[in-house]
Amino acid sequence: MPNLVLAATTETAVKAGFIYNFSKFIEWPARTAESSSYNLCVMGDDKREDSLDVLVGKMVGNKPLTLTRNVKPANLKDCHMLFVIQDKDVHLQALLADIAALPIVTVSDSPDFILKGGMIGLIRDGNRVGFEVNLKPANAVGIRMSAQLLKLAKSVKGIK
Amino acid sequence: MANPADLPQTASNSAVDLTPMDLTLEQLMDLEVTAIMKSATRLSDTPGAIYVLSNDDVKRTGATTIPESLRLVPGLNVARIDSNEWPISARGFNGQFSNKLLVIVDGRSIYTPFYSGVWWDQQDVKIENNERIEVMRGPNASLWGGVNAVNGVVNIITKNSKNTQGSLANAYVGIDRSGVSLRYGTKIDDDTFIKVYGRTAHYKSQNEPLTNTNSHQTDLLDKIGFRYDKEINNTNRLNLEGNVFNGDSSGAVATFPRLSKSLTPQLVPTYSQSSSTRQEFIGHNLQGCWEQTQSARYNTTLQVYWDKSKRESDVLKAGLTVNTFDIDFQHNLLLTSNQRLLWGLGYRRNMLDNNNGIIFSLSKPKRDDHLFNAFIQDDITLVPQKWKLTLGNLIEHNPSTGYEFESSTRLLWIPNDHESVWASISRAVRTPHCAQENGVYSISNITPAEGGAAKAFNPITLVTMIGKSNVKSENLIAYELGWRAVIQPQLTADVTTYYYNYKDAASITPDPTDLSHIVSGYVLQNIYGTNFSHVHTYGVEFSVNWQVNDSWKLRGSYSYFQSDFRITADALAGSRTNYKNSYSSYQTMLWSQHQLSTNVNLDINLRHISKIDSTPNFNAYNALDARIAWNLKPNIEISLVGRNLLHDHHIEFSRDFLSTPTEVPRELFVTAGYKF
Repeated sequence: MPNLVLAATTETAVKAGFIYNFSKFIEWPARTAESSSYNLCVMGDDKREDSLDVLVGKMVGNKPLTLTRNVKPANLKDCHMLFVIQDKDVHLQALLADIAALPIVTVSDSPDFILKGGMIGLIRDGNRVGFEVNLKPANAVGIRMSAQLLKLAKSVKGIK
Repeated sequence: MANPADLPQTASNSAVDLTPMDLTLEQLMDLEVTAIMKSATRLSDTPGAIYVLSNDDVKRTGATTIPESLRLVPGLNVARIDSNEWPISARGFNGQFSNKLLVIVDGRSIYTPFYSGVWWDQQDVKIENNERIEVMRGPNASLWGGVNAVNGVVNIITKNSKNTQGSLANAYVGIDRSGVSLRYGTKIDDDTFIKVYGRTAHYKSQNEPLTNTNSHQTDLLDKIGFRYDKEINNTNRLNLEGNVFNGDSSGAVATFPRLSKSLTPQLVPTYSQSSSTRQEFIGHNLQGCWEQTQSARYNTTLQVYWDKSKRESDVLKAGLTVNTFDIDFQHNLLLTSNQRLLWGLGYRRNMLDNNNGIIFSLSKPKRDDHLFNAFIQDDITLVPQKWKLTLGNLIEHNPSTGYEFESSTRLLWIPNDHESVWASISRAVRTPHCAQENGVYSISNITPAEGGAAKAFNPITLVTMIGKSNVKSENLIAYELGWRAVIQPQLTADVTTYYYNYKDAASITPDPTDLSHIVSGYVLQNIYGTNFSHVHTYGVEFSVNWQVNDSWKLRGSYSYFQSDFRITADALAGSRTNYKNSYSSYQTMLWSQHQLSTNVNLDINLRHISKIDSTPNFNAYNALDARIAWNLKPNIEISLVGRNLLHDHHIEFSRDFLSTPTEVPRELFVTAGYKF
């Protein structure tokens, strides 16, 4: 018989909530940490990602959040976090290889993102959104994720 | 993964009242993303009194059983009567055999048709396996029917096997309880997942305070089970799950009349015997659910389950086997952007088979009941973002009282973006159960004057509860009013008030004393269940959540309950109300969830439970539970749990038919969890 509906919302809005929240549980290496704003970059076909607009101007720690859509490869080095929208035109492995040495938290809703070398994969579980984490690429560039974040992850790969 | 582009246009419109940025990660993970229900429903938009416990909430209190978890919910009455036996109810009418709370696990109702309540000792669900527990106070019979969805619904949702990949081992050890569980999940292919698990739990028997005796036995629950989940083309979801269990509740010692045969007392001393109320149980369940999303507007669910269990009691020399077979179909339709329809059909067959004993028997040892229901619920948005109306109706047919109708009308008003107000009027019934209709249970005796052997005209009197088939349904009209507010992004409050009016509520009536055997030296005093009570109850439930900072959350709740039980004017002589004063008038809880450092959590839970008037030896009590946990590594957690830290022991409930209350002790135990 019917389940009680706890709450329902659009997937995009929920993902925006996740992307914003992740920043609270992550420490960047000193070089990135010094910048005056928190730069969230988006790659891929983002016309349906209007919900990310609500993040502009939010504070992350003491820094205002800036949103860069369709980020150009030359500007990637300024990103704190890169959200790669599930899109067949983006070649994930090549992209991840290009930025493997940069301290950028990579997030995507693309299937098997963390197996391809991404750091945080947003996954759909029935009617809910969750996430999985790969620590290996994060450790390689000095990005630290808190234990609280890892505890909430549906799965964690790359534990030393 | 559903393509957001497929969503109807209003999806983005409705997103304006959402602020996922204000939610924590835990809250985000709890949000439903329902393609079918394009209109967004926040928890705060539910027109009813709902409280949700996430898996993490429960784990962090150190609870190892579902009943302990339910102590955290405002408006619920939870008491531990013996080491693994629990009277639980919502808004009064509590007892070990309380019958007005529906409990479902993944859509399967876990009640026993014997008394329309839950044998908590055999039905417990392992805490690590739960995704969350949703508790809806108030009648929900217009969706679930009149077996027991009268005062509340507890909805236990277990984890999808997709999220339980890999292995997990858990153990807890203390003087009064211990347990081990193992779980293993694996991927069969990209869309198919399975998990298997096993557990054992032990609870040490406690002292019975009046006689200072202890049965020195251990309560036990062993369970193994599986869950299989498959997604086919994003449109079909299939889920199969099953459990096999075995255990016993040792039960404190109680006094029973000695009988030479059914309804015939022994005529020479000693007239009573003291025996352990130990019960053994064994059973299994198997269920399947197929959900199909035909389009963004239509979705159907078909669910089937089979549940079998057997309970045996040495002292009663009786054993009851219950088989339940159930099939439910449900159709969810989005008619227009402002109207959503949910309708469904259900069929249930309950087969009971009792080995009649001397003290306890069923007048109909075999019962085979067929129950049917059909329901329809309409959610209408009267003014988008402002007013919503929910109408529900259910018709059912049961073998005891024939057709029954239940309905509810709920109205939600959202005056601004941080407040909502709801009101409801519902009609619910609680249909008669097997024990009321067929139970024959000799509870006590009155020995002959001046002791010695019973003789003609100096008889022994045997008191027996006898079920009669003319018992009626209990009938409730409930009025509820609620208010919710986001006072600050980090501070939310929820207040519910209610007034319930029960007609034909359960009462107990004595038959005229049966003197036909007085020459043989005994008389029979039978009492039976009737419907001569008229009950009014009312109360307030208040809860508040405060996220003090990223690492500290405080919650508080307060529940107040009052009632008026009266015998109706047309009642037969000697009738008494049932379940009067079976609750505490007020309960208060304070709960702190504190992350002390990245790897250390401290949880403290303090409760005050006021005196239950009907219970001798029972006083108001304060309970303090605390848990400190260390994450040694992301995949290893150890914790130290203390429960009832303030007192050496206390009593929480009075004797209830078969169960004798024992002392709930102070407990300390350690837990360890390892993911690999």
